Amino acid sequence: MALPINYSVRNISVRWASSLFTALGIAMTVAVFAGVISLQEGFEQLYRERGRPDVAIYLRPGANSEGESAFSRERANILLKERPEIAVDAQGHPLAAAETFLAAYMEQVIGGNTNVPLRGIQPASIALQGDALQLVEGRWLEFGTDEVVVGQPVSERMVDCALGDTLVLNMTPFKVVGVFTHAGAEGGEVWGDAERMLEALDRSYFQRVIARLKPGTDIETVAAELEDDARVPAKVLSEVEYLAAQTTYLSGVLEGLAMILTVIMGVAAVLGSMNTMLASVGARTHEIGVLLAVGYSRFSIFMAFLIESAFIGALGGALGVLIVLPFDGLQTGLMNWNTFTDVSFAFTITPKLIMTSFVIAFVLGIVGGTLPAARAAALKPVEAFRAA
Amino acid sequence: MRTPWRLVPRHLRAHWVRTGLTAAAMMVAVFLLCFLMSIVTVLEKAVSESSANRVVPQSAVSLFVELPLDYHGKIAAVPGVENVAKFQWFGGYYRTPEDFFAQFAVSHEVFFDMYERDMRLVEGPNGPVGASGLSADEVSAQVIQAMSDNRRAAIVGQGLIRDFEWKVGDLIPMQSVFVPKADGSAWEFEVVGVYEPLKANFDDRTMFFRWDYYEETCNNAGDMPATGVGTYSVTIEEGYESGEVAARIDALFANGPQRTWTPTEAVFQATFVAMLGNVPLFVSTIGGAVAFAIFFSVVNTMLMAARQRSSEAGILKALGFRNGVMGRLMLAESILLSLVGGGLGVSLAIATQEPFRQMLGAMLPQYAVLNETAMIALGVSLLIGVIAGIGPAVTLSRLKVTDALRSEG
Amino acid sequence: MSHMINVDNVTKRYERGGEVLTVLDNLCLTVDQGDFVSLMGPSGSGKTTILNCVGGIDTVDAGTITVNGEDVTTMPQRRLPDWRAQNIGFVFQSFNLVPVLTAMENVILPLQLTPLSRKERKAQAIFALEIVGLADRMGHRPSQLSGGQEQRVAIARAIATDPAVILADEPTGDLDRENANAIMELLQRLNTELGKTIVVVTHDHVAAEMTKRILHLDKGVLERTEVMGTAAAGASAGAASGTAAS
Repeated sequence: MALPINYSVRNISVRWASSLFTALGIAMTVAVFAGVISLQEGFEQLYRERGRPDVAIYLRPGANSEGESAFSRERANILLKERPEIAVDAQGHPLAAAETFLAAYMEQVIGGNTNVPLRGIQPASIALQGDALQLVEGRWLEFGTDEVVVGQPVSERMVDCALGDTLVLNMTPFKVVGVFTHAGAEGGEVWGDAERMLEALDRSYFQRVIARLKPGTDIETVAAELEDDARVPAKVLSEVEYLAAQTTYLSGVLEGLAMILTVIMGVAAVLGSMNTMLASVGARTHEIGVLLAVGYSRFSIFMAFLIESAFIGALGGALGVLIVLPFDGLQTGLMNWNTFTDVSFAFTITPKLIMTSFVIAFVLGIVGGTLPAARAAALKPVEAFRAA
Repeated sequence: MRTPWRLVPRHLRAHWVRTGLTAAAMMVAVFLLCFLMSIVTVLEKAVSESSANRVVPQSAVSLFVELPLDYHGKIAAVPGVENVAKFQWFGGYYRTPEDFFAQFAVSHEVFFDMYERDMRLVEGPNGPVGASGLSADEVSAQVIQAMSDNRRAAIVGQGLIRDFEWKVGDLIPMQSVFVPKADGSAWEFEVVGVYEPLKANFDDRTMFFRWDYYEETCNNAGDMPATGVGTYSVTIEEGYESGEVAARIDALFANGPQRTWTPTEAVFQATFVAMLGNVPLFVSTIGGAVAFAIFFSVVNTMLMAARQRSSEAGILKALGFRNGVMGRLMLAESILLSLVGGGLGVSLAIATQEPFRQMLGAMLPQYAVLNETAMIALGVSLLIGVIAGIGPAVTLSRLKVTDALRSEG
Repeated sequence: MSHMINVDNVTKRYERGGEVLTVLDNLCLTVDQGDFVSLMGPSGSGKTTILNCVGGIDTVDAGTITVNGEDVTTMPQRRLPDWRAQNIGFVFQSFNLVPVLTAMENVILPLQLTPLSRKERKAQAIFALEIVGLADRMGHRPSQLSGGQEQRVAIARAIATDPAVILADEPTGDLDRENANAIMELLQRLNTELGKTIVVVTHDHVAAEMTKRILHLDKGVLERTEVMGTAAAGASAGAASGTAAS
């Protein structure tokens, strides 16, 4: 004979203060887990699923990000003009651009400096981004002039970056003529003519070449071919692989952090719920004796307490999700250690994350309840009576 | 104000399962709190221990823009400048990119003078300090001599010796991502000395090697020639104010070709911490959540304890103990429990410093549970004990004797 | 007044669920030095309430109670605990002992409120335990004692500080006949041999009959006084006060 679920629920409400505090302990664990993972989710969404398999990124061998890469003008030109795998537009120009990249200090509106990516582009750069890139204010820059367009968050968060402002790079004033949005991390960049940027920054190297590939190109073959090329040794990645490589450090750190925190806090939460459940069993020793005496099986008593504990866990899960839910969509910024630049993104709470949080809370409740439930089930009726 | 204090340990022992579970939960959580706080405090400590007597001229545009090589002489000529050293981030790795640590090319002729208060040479070509009667000064002199005799010479921190099992005299092949050699072969360095950091701004997993070796190798065998200097490091002559000297350096290059920004070393370190952006905030938020979780656990335990303590409160009051007696006992019980749990957590954090430092590796090579962190963690434990104990304490103190004796359970 | 306890026109009301209950209704009674009195009456007659009021752990709404010459009803709240420690020894029906302390430590508890030295307290506690015949059990926890033994330790604790009055609320309520008798005999002995003034609340006739006088309470008033046995002097005084009250 099984005890009605009501029995377990009633017990929780009778000892509501204890149950609530235990649930809150579990809720905190879940909230921390969900908070950190939602951060990672938001960060990864900037990069994940935006890569296109037919767009290739050329870097110097050994480099994993633009900051580590460099191509001299000659090498960049060879790649731009001579690579057979690069697609051409209607006029026969290669759909490829050599770009410069520099994480530069910029002053935030709220004070303090941060690293903002300056990208020197060529005309093909804009077309290569396709629909992900949208101009929302002003116009695109005119190549050959000291003009820049800025990503919307940069325009809002950095000093001298609003439309019409003048942004001084090293010694040269650049005029902000447009504001753009980009669904990826590029949305947080400042773009200017590559040649003008190189001159203003007193630099001589490009950092990457980006190109659209002809249909049917096997990127592995190209990569193998260029790896030990005598004139231009290069590492060739599809945009998919390239973007995935830009999240490794921060994502790894966030995932590791979430795991460590969840395990440690989970242990504490389990100890707490064990405590509450033992007290619950202790307070009802007499009652358990009665239940056993009237013929309820040990298993049904075990289940009754386990259900009680699982309920507390689920309650904790619900509270934990409630705690983090207001963070969903909240914009924040973190240093992407792969590119050494500040990226802004939002806490992103996905349905999957909510499910995972619930499962964790539920498991914590059950783990904490097993031992006390077993103890309740193991009581002998005689002892149970004597204790009361 | 007589209080039968012996009741406090007796109750904790009588409910040993509850006490143990709570203390264990507390231990685990306070350990985590210590770990999180240590991450933040260690970062801050590196800033506070940096020398105010050194300034770091660098590009005003970006951390990744180099300054021209000829700035060296110009900076050295600025009044108030004592010594100038070039520093260049090498960006290399040993064996695999995952074995990350920092390497710098430095002007070795002045480096040892400029950093004598930040580190100590503990082993040289003829062995460690103490071995065959070698004094610290002799070892220093031998390392400095070896450094000037051998172009490939490098000194490394104790942490690298430990992690990679290097020895003085070892030849270390390294690949650089930033300045690869044209033929793809490895750079080679020879370990001639081992240093021990004396301050928190210096970590024990860094390698320093000769600037001239760096420059010549880049120019002769590199993928690209050496184009500039990452940062200069400047010590200020006595009697001069670092801010004024820095301003003079910046003024000198205000019209290019590269504008400079010359922060003190402390400010420079602080920008690295600032680059972590919201990380300290996130870590603190998480720490707060952890503290709350422990708080709930202790409150829960004290509520359970209080429920069983009302008749005892009645007895004590009937015997003539003052109204506050049970309150003081509950508070003491809560504090003792929290301090025991918290103390265990702090001890655990201190005991596991070394494995955690290794796990964090290059991300935070100076990771350590500092005394002030331990004290704060104990303070938080105490506070949690007090707050968790206050509720039951007040309730039991206010309880009328007649009500207390009527109810139980 | 030379009475040890003088309850004069005491009224106490409780409000329960919007209804006002008069628990003590202009109650008058006295207990002399060296008297041994039991209070009897049905549930709600106010016998426990008046005991608590006399012991200063409950308050009255009207009237005065003097114990050992001091007015308990007008005494400031903060003085009451000290006064209790010096003048009153309580024995309750159950939950009497602190479970985590040994018999000895329980008896020492009230002695901690006296200026006695540690050594003197210990000696006093052993003496009290010897009187109740449990000196050999002083290291035992309440859980290791029988119900009767627990109650005897409680009595030892009540007499340890040599208070003016011992107040016992249903001291035999949880005990079987044999143990109950033993407890009452012990109280009797404390009264006759040591001259303690003792008031016992009970609903047990057998136990009550072992005291010198039985005060029957009903609905908060003293209904009648029953004088037991041969203690003539005490009985007449009690009878007089009882008559005065009704």
